[in-house]
Amino acid sequence: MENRLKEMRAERGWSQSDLAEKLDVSRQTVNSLERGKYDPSLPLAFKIAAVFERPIEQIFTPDRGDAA
Amino acid sequence: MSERIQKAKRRYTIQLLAAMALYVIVLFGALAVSKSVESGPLLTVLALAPLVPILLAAVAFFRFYRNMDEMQKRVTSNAAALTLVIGILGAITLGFLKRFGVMDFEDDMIFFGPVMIGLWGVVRFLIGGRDC
Repeated sequence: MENRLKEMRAERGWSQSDLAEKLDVSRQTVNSLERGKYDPSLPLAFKIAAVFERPIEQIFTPDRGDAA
Repeated sequence: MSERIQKAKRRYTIQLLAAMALYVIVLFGALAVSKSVESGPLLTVLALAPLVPILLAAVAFFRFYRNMDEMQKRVTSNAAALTLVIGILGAITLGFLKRFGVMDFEDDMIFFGPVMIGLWGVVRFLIGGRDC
């Protein structure tokens, strides 16, 4: 799954630690999410959407292989 | 790391260190007292006394585990599964080496637990990194 987390975080001027605090996760988890190394659970994806005030589909998009 | 997870990690570190210190005290205390105790219920109690601080450490760990975020939980669980596989392979390997007479060593299981816990820590670090 691909995501726009890094870009959206940068737009708001938040550090990874700031976002980690808002999501109540570790900074390492934010880093892994941004690099696409970890796909969040549905509850965490909804939390991310709420923090950024955007629908989930504007933040996360399936990889080409996943969408098939 | 979120403040809540950081607090949980600090609390876990303190509780773990306290449990380890208690373990050393109880272990050496029980070993010293056991020299002057005949076999019987008291000796059994002394032999099992070091389990109490180990249980305290386990409780501290599971409290910490409950406070981890979802990725930390996944990394910790994956590391536990991988450690189990390595431990089983290690035990079988040593068993074969001993049975075929290639190596001779005492079957002292007291080191098995600490080795597995240490290995779990190393595997967890390799999978998740220092901050995970």
